[in-house]
Amino acid sequence: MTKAARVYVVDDDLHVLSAFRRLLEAAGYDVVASNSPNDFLARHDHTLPGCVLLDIGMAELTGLETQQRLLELGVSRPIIFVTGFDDARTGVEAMKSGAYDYLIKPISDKILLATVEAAVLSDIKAFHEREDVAKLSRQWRSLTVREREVMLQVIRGRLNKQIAGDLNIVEKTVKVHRARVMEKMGVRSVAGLVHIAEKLQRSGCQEFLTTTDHR
Amino acid sequence: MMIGAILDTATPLRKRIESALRPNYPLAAGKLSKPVPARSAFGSADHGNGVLALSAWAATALSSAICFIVAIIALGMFDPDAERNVVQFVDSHRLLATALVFGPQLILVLAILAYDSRSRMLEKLLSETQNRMQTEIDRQRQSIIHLSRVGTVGQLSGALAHELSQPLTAIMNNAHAIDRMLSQKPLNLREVRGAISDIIDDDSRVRDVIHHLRALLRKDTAEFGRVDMTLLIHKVLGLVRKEMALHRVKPVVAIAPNFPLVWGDDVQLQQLLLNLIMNAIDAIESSGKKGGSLSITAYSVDGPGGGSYHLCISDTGSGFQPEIIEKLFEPFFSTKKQGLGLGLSISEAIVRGHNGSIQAENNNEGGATFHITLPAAHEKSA
Repeated sequence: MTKAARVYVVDDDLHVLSAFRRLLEAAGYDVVASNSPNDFLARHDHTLPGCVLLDIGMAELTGLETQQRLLELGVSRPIIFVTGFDDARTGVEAMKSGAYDYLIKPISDKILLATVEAAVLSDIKAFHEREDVAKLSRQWRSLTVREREVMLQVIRGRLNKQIAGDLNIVEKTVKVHRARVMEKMGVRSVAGLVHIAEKLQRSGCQEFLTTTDHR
Repeated sequence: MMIGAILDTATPLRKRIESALRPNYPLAAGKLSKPVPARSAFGSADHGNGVLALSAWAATALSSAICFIVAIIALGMFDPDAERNVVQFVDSHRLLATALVFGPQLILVLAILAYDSRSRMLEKLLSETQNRMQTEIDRQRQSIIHLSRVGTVGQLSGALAHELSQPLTAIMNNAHAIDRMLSQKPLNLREVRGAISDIIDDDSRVRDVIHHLRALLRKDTAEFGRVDMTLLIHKVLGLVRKEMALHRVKPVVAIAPNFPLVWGDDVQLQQLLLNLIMNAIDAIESSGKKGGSLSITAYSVDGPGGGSYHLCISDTGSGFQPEIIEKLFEPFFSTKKQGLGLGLSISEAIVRGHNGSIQAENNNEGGATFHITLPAAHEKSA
């Protein structure tokens, strides 16, 4: 699984760049090597899981700024910062801003490969979660306004009769909506529906949160 | 100065000496003792102190005798051989010497010469004295320049570690990549070759950095020769490349083609460039701007005797306060919190040692520029 992942290597030293590329390719990764942060940002594909090996001290954009750009693009990708300077301050800054790891050159192949593998695995996991959430929010968006109202009532444990009273409709119609909700959300039980609602809430799905806020 | 003042005196020698010395050496508190043979006079001096040089003057106090005063200023750090030489000189000319100890570290030795053919002796002694002093001053200057260079390289240690760790990282990872590639089928021979050739390149990169460093750190005597400034500028920029990148300082280099070779010491000229570049980086950093540029412009001007070579190093910092521009090259003058204030005075000493000149001025558009003029190397032999 990790072998199919893509590793971006960004370093303005061409020799270091190709050495990292060769080693990671030999280890079976799909490697995209860039000698500048802008080249990397242009070639970055957020639809594939992977990680970034980013030199922290580049003239064009520093590693930390590059990380910031990625975040602005809405991409949360594990970044392994690489530096030739053993500078504690930069290390702390990098870790605080959410770096996956911080490696100081010269870096041995073992540490490099182990760190890349762990970063890639964590991204694949996060990737699946993101895909899951994306699917759920798509499903949520496919519900009609009335169906959403019914669903929110159902997950609070209210009975069909109570929902019918609240929404001023007949119980039979509630049943129909309820069945449609279950079908569209791909679940068979109220428990499954509650589980989805939790996931949507935790992931910060905007459409879901704005609907629930009004209640 | 002192020598002239004493030479034409007719008053008793001791008085003259004492009054001449007091204003120059505030530590002077001793009185002249009775003349004794040179060896014992030196024997009474503190042997922990060496001898700097002879400073002599004569007085025609009695008959045709010439009196010499040999002032020996010793601060413990000077050539210990000189003391022996002074004793020998005094002995071989049948001098009498008397030693005065002015405080623990300042020794004055008076030698009275009862010798007839005055002028030739005096001249010889004076010129020997001056040569020795000049040699000693030169040696001291060289070693101060060298020490300061060691300090500058120390400041760059982070960037230099980077210059070494880059190729080492590349070498190690290429080697491990080759190791993996060799066990893969099909074997990608092109990649293996590429990795091997990169390893060879990186090895020479490491070697170059080490050689460069050794040259900068080791040499403490100036060796003049023809110096290719273009090469030198690029060499130094290679050394500070990462340091500049980290501070967002962009180098802008403009060197006129066919400029003459400079007559100088390549290591000291590199030090000069390093000092001014580091200074510019500091200036940009402390101006609070997010980065800037450093331009190095070099051009030559034709003229009698081979013309001259001009070097301008400009930064985009906030320039100098007008009142301090005069003091920039004074030793121990610094506007930086952590500066010793030696960088620019040493730069000035280097330029002066090369018979050149250096000036600083503020740019109209902000920042400052250092203008350096160096004589071109033409048919010079020494």
